[in-house]
Parts: sequence; structure tokens; C-alpha cells
Amino acid sequence: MKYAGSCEGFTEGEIRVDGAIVELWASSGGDALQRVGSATRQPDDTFTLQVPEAGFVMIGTVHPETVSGSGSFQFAGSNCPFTFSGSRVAEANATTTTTTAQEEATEELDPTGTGPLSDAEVRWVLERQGLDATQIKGFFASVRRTSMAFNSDDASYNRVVAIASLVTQFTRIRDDSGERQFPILHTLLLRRPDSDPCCGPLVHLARALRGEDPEVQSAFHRAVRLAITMELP
Amino acid sequence: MRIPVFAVLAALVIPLAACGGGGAGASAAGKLGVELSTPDGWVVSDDGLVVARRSADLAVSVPSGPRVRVVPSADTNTDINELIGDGEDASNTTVVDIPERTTVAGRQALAITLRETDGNAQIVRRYVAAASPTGASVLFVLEAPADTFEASRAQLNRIPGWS
Repeated sequence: MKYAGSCEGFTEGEIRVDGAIVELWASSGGDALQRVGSATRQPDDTFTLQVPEAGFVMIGTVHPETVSGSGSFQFAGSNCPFTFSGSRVAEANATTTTTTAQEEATEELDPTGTGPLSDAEVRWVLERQGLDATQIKGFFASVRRTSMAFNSDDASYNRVVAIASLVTQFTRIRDDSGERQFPILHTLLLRRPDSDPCCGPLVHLARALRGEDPEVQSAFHRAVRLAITMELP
Repeated sequence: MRIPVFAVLAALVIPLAACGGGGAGASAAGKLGVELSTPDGWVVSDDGLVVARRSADLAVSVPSGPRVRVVPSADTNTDINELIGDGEDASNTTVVDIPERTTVAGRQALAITLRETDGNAQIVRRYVAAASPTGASVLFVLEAPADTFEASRAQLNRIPGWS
């Protein structure tokens, strides 16, 4: 599923296609993706999608086997045109990013840092892992969707969950190729005896974040950083 | 004088069995490249992956005294979101030592020490993750009841090692 478009200030969007159901998810400024609307139409219908509360408008066409279309949505007073095309899939991820100067800045991971990993730091890690720009965009979309799935207003907790998910995906990527690139991080997250229904110490910490203890938060983030940097060359 | 072969074997096997370090146990730890040193008077599990001051603590989830265990398995397909989202509340977990780099017998490791509530017990666990000489990622758990952990800390730190 390809999605091309740009709009000033709009950092990421995602179109999901499930049969003839089209949904637009969008985010800006690093916030979690929000579902801004959906529509169900017959093949080749042209539709207009309006989501009053978010002020988005999407126009497109849908076909059960392949989908393509064009449209626009309003963001921050600007008209944002886009096109999309692709095969019918259960869930198609398509992202576009209007990269800001801030996002382009390369920020290396600071092992002593105690705040959540910034997007720039995560991007740095992913680049070191050999992911290309498209994969990285998909990664951020996935992480934000994970955050959103918890349906929590607690941004810090969401961020932790997102990073944990990201780390898990690192592992899966490497498992597929028969190599695990973050064994220590994986161990801290998931390692557990067979008889223990729970998990590694980082999951304990992540759960403890529900108590919003700043010390626990910083410990979690510091541990993630240390573990990542220990595995990188 | 000719010594029967079985006597030689018995002389070798009995002491190993007595300390629990033989047979499958040695290979389980050996596969991970791990070797736990056993302080005088302590006991080691048959698989060589647990060392405790009290034999009753070898197989229980919450030990009544100091213990070191090696956690050998991990489910790589575990969904991290389920672990975090559906688990019991762990808001009473507190940080004893912030995450820090350390070493296990000369090899780089990452350690975190947490005070956790396990059932009705307060227990301090120091998690030490390291890469073994065989390339396996190993998690050592150094633990003791919260009120005795500090007194046992130095001794616990000396137990993890490599084969």
C-alpha cells in the first residue's frame, strides 16, 4: 500500500484497508496515531469522509481487490492532498512523513539518560540496525499504534509500552534472520523461568510505572538505553 | 593392588551427586556457559542453575534465604504488550540500585536491583544480564528476603561465573 502526500506540520499518516473499509489514522507532532475516520463503500465508489471533531476530510475510491484514490484532508488550516494505491490486504500500513529539521538531527543514544527515548534516538538505533527510511517510518507508525491501543491518557506509560514494543520488534527482526541483535535487552524484558508466568525485570519496571514513580520511570529508561548501547558495536 | 572400576566411579560420582553438580545438571549450566560457585555450606540444584544457602529454597518461588539462580529460558514469541498490559499490578516495585554496567567474572553485564512484592513476601532481586562465553544471553537473579539482602549482597555477587 503506497501513500504519498505531504502537509506542513503533519508528520505521519496511515491508511488501513480491510476489504471495502477504509480508515485514516493520523498523528502530528509525535503524538499517538488517532483514528480520524472510516468509511464503507462499494467498489469504485468515490466517497468523502468527514470527521467533525478532528476536522479531517478524506476523499478516495475503494475497490475490493485493489484500491487507489486521491483526496485531501484539512490539517491546521491547510489543505493536504494525497494519493494512495495498493492491493487489498487485511491491514495495510502506509505512512508519509513531512520531516522537520528537528527530526533530521542525529542524536546518539546517551546511556546515562533517564528520560524516554526520543524519536531521534530511536531513529539512530534503527539506522544502526540497518533499517531503511521506509522501514523506520513503518516502525514509528507501529509503535504509535501500540501506544494508542492502551487507550491511556498517560503519555509516559504509553511511551514505555511503545518502546517495549519497539524492542520486541527489534528482536523479531533479528530472529527471522537467525540472529538476535539485542540479547541483553531481550533478556531483561522477557527472560523468565518456565514456571514463572511473568517476565523480566524491565517488564516489572514497566508495570510499576502505573504507580507513576519518577524513580521507576527513569530507571526503566536508563536500563533500556544501557542495554541497547551494550549490544551495539 | 587392583582397584575395581566401579569403586573408582563411585568415588567420583558420589561427591558430585552429593553437591548436585553432576550429570544433566552440569550440562544444563554448561550449555549456557555458566558455572555458579557454591559457598561452603550452600547447596546447588541438580541442573546446576540454582545455588541457595538452604536446600528448601532450591525449588521455591520465594526463597527464605539468599539464593542465586540462572534463568535459562525465554519465549521469543511473547507479546510484550500482553505482559505489560494484562499482568498484575506491580506498582509496589521499587528501585534499589539504578541500572548500571557491571561485570560477571570479567564479562560485561547490566544490572538492576529491585525490591518486589511476591505474594506476601518482600524480596530484593538483583537482575544481572550478560552474554556468556558461548554467546548465550544469561540472566542471573541474585535474591534474598528484603531484610537480609544487604547482608548477603557481597556473597551473592561472588557466585555467578562462567564455565
